Amino acid sequence: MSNSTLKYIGKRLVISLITLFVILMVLFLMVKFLPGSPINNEKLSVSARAAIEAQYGLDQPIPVQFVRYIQNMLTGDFGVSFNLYKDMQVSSLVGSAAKLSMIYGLCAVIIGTVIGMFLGVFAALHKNTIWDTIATVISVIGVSIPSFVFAMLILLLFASKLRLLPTSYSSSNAVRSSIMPILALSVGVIANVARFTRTEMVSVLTSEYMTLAKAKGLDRKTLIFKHALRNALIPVITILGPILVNLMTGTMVVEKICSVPGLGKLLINSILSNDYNIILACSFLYAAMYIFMMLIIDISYGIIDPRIRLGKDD
Amino acid sequence: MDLEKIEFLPDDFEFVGDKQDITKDVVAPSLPAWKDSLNRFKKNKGAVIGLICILVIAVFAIFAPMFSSYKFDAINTKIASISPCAEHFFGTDTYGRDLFVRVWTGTRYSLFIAVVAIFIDVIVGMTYGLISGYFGGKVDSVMQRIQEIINSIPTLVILTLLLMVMKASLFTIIMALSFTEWIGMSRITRAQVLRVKEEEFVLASRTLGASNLFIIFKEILPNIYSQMIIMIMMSIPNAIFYEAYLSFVGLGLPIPMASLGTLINDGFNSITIYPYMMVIPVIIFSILMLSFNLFGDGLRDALDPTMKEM
Amino acid sequence: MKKLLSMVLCAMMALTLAGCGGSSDDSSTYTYSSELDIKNLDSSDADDGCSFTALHAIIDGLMKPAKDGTTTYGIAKSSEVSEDGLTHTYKLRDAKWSNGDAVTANDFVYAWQRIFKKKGNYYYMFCDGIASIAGAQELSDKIDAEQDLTDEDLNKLGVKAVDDKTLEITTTTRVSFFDELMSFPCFYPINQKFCEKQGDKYGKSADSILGNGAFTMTKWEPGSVAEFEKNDKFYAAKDVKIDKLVMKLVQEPKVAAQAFEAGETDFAIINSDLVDKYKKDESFKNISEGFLFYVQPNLENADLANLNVRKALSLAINRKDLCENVLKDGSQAAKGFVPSGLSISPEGKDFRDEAATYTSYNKKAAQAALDEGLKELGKSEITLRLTYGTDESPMDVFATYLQNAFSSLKGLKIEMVATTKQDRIYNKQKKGDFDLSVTRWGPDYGDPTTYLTLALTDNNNNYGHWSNAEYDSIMGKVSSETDANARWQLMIDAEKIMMDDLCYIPVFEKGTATLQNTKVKNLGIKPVGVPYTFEYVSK
Repeated sequence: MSNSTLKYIGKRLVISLITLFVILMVLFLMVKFLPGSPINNEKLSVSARAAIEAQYGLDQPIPVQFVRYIQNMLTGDFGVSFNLYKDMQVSSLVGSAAKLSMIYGLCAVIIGTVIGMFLGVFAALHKNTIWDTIATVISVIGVSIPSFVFAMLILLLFASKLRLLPTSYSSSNAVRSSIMPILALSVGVIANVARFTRTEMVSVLTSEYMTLAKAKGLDRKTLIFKHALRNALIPVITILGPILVNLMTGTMVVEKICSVPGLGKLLINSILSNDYNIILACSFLYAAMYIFMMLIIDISYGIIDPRIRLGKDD
Repeated sequence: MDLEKIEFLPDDFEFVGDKQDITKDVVAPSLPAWKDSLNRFKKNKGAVIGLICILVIAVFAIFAPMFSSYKFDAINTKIASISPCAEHFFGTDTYGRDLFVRVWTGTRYSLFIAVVAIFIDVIVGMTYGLISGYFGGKVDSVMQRIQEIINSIPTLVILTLLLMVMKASLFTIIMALSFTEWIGMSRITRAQVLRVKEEEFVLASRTLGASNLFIIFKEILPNIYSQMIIMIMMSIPNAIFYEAYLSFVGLGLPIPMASLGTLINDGFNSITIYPYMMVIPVIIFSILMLSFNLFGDGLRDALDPTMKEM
Repeated sequence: MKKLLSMVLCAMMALTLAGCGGSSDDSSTYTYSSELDIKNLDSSDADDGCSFTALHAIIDGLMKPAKDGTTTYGIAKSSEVSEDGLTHTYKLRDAKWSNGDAVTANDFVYAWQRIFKKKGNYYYMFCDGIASIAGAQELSDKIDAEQDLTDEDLNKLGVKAVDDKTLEITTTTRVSFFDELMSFPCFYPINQKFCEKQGDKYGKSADSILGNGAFTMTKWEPGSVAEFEKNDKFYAAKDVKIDKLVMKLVQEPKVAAQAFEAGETDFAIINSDLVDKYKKDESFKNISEGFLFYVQPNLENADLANLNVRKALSLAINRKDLCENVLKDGSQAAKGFVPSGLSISPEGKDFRDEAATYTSYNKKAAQAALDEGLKELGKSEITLRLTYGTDESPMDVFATYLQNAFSSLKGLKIEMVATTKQDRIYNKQKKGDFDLSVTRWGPDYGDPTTYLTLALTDNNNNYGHWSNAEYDSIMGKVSSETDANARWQLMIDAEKIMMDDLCYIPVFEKGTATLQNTKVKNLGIKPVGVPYTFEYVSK
């Protein structure tokens, strides 16, 4: 890696960290503005509630609370849950939920990319035939319709009517009960990747160097896999960013439909019960993952094609 | 192939000279830009179908509730949970409300929310992008940092939190949706402004003593209209989706209002017994999303062929 | 590329080859699907039905729910009440904690003092008006004044370990339902040694809770599942018929119903939407939940301060239609503010059977009352906001129905305010920022006062700020009256006052539609305190 690349990465890193800090501050303020109190036993007296708030330090001025929160956070302590799981460590609650969500996201990306690539290459090789049309229609539908609709339809068909799959997540049967949500999530990825791969493949196949390679007398297999696909795939990385972002939003709804105890479901539940610390930790994690992804993608662009970086940065 | 082995025969060749009239040069008739775009658009079957679907759905959404004898929020438990039939085209829900009226009313609200939210987005986003791009320098970098930060919080997280603070109603949902979608608009505007403001015609205008406002409105804005229209078409399905998402996590429109999202969510509760309660709004929702995407794609190809498949 | 491909292929193989999960046809395992989550197993914090259910599977208190829903001896083997009703003496049986320690009277003293020390959710249960344990009110006042409690203060609480097996409790007044109260989880014992060793972690995971009850906890994954095994050290272990208990957590009704059909669970709660499908099924059973759902009018709103307006609202609700055709889960039209099946008079009759019926449906009368009210107010139309939480099923159903019923009256406009339960109670209701609020109340103990105290002028939960001197004075007499029959009559009189003035508009008593494995017998179900008892279950 050249010096300028390192400098670029360093700069991006610093900006990301600053952004994260600002986000944390914004989230912290927003959470504090949520109406109501996290202490939610309607049978408590007013003063008893005040006593409990004091115990959690909720009576302190907001800046003090914020500084204390950051100090604790740096040691890995995200505080305790106020009422969703009373007094449990948020870090462990969020940790296990995030693990599940990430596994789902990763599986969906891998499955989606592989299938999408095949579909895209296939369509490109059969350009302007019925196969191409079918593949295009599938990918247009996949791109336009959100994953929760697929989740519902799969649930209706495979779990409710055919009874092939369990309707909800259960840890004792983790793999089988994960098929449905992962499938629903990967549809969007398949569609996006297929669409993009096809376009790239088509433009590569009609390029001059392919004509040259063909003229050299290379056989079809080498042509497609060694020359065309390789060149077509590099730009596919560029759409991984939007895909991952879509996936993150997708998981939030899909988790609800398939009762997966993941990050999205935890966030929604914590918001409904005003569990400040869980809301903060979940939202922050989402934002952090998002920024991290953007960072990785930006850096990988920069390494693959330094021109992108120059164009982007200035 | 071995070239030397090929033999040429006399009838391999023929005269062309006198069949082609080289003095006449066929040139396509000159058309105004919009007509050119229209022709390109018409050729795109998907886009035309999309446009037709959108129009049909919009017509139903506007007129179906007006001409029905049922009200969308009238409860009548005597006719609860009836499957689709001649009297109730889409059946009735668990309260005995006619779903035909409810679904179209819901579509109306969904479209209304999306369109208004995007309208606000355009105004906010365009202003922001214009200021940021046109004035450049420090203003630009500060504004860009702010935008980057807002953009780094995932939309759904910010949307959920916003609605928790403001409480769901028609107005707040529109506000929340506009809060998150304007960034795309401002980015496009800024990029275009940056590109256009260095062009010679802007320079020319400035040398002639045109004011900033004049340049922005007369020279720069007309150059980004087509891109904005494309962006709007692409954003509307997003807004419809986010509205549906909000209903799904319980932050949707208050009872007894309906949107496609709340209808899907309500129907989801009865999915195992009365699948039609969910399937019908899901179909309309999907057609709407699909149509806007197809239409947007077609529009993009028609208005700006250079952007194809970006 | 090849590596990636093979990895993906492996992952997909693993997905497709994954075997089937175990089902619960096995007769020694009982599986229970809960819509809610276990929030906490620390008896000084736990405050919801699901946590209570799990907690009671692990720990027995002095008293416990019997097979038939009445109260029977748990850790106590006998009890005595002094002549004046102020001293309760419980003799403990030879029970053991699952680690082999004996359960002693001191475990109770420790647990009860700990609630005050920790300012746990339920210390108000010890105070005057409920358990009325001596010294509790003073401790509570100190907490409210934000003073720290010293050990000396805590020792003033009227609970003493006379010896290892004798617990003596003094109260400030006669409490007729004291035995029943003792089955409430906040009165459970805690093993001091174990609890102190766990420190802050006590009751937060399967390893950090120690029980003396029918089961021990082996696994607890919040939001997913909790598993229990039969406790061999339980004093009545030979009567426990099942070896394993599984609680599936946070299962939505739809999901639970399907799990039930697939034989994956023995007990599932279903919602109104699903009732149509299962109502003819043998496994379909309605049970009473004990919650009263009602409309809380804000008396500080000038329009609602008019009795005729409130009457119109109450008359406009077709409670029977709502229960039978919309909710369909066995909910019953409420007749008054104290639900049926909550409390039995000294004569053995249900409170509801002795008190009058205060609700009815009559749309014409409702319109007439509203017209009358509008005339008195000098207005031609009033607009009221109806606040409801979208996250508290079936509040949304309830609110939808009310909106329709109220809007059908001429001269009344309803504006819906959608929010969350949190915001509805702690923000809107607390600040008085509401006109009508759809809300509910669950009983803490089996006595009408658990509901009637809600209408006292100085009650924290009297969000509508209704105030009636006569009512307050009758309720004062209720708490001091020593004659059980006279006390009963006073409560009936009190209810009449509040219902005639409609300070709350009762609508329905919530039922729960469930699917239960027909092979299973003796699942203990109770509307008050611990909702489900698994000790007696056989399959």
